[in-house]
Amino acid sequence: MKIWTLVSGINWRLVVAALFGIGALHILATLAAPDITRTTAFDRLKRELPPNKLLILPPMAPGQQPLPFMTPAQRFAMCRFDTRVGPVEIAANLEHPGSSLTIYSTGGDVVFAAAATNEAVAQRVRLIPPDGRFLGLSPEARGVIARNVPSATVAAKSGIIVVALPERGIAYQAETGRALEGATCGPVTDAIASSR
Amino acid sequence: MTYRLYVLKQALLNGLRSISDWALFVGVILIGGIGSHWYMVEAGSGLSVERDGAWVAWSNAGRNDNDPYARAHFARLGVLPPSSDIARTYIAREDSEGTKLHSSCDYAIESGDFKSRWWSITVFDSDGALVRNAAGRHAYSRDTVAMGNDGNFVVTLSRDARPGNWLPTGGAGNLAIMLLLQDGTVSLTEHDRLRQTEVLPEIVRIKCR
Repeated sequence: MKIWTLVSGINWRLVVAALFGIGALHILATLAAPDITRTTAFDRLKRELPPNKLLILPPMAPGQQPLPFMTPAQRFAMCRFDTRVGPVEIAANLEHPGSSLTIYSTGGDVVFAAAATNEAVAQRVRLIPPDGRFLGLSPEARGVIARNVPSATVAAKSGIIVVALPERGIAYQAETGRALEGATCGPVTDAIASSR
Repeated sequence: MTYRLYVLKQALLNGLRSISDWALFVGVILIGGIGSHWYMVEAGSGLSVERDGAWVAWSNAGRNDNDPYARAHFARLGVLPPSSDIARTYIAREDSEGTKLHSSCDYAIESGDFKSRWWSITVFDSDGALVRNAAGRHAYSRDTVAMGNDGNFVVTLSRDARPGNWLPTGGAGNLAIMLLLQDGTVSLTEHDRLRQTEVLPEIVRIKCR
């Protein structure tokens, strides 16, 4: 009887309205979190990385991590790409297990990921603007011989490219450094299409 | 005059009661909405997080079809997680008995070689920063760990030097251990098979000071 009195005294309209409000706030806060967070990975890196240029990071050490949870078991190179001025191409050799090439959007979503396999060592990814703008004829269309055909073409506006190679010990540090230096990131030009 | 004061007092009380009802209503919505959001983004649920003993991984980390909780989680952490299409990233903040990892304790992680093509174990402080230590050791990987004759290895986390695969924990306070398993670009079925059959190591507390 007492419980019934308690239940009948509840304003159910208010309870339903409160549940609706909780749900709406929950969804809004979750969807808006990547946009309102000021410490996202892209926000932290955009000041450090020049556009469309690969930057080889020093080996990870205390106080030198550009982002949290970056392991010193790998060496990293990063490129902040921006396809507003034209297509961008990234090339890297993923020779050893533990190597990877990952392309992130500004929101942190992965738009392309490849890891070392026995089949495809060399990865060459062309990034094009997603809005279908006419960017002029491609080097191939103008008769420039493309010696390296991209292994993938991805539509993305801007974001971060991460090349990670395994740190295989002191004896291999120089080799790992050279492999990172061999990776490239930059606008697609006739020179890139014909010489590499 | 007394009557007017009485009416004013009643109106004031009614107004306060109404304001307190609305404040309660708004408070419940704020606490419920933000609280449930915080829980789902920080701790995750069975829908977005895989748990295997002490190890926790966000199932859709870094995927193009990321769920909104994973997207918000990694945006808040400020990290670029390896894509879960090619790798799985497990973070342990507790030992296998459920006690928070702390630099005042010693821990052992014993395992056989993983089925994944490449792996690494790294120790961080609770914010994901590397722990300062004189030895300059922070991680072991498949390339650098010293395996035993039986193909197993033990990584020991301790403040003081230990023989074998020692990861110094210094005075970091609460710790986080990251286990990165990278499969390479394999088919989704192969990726799922590896995910389901991989045996993750226990994190055994040896002693605390």
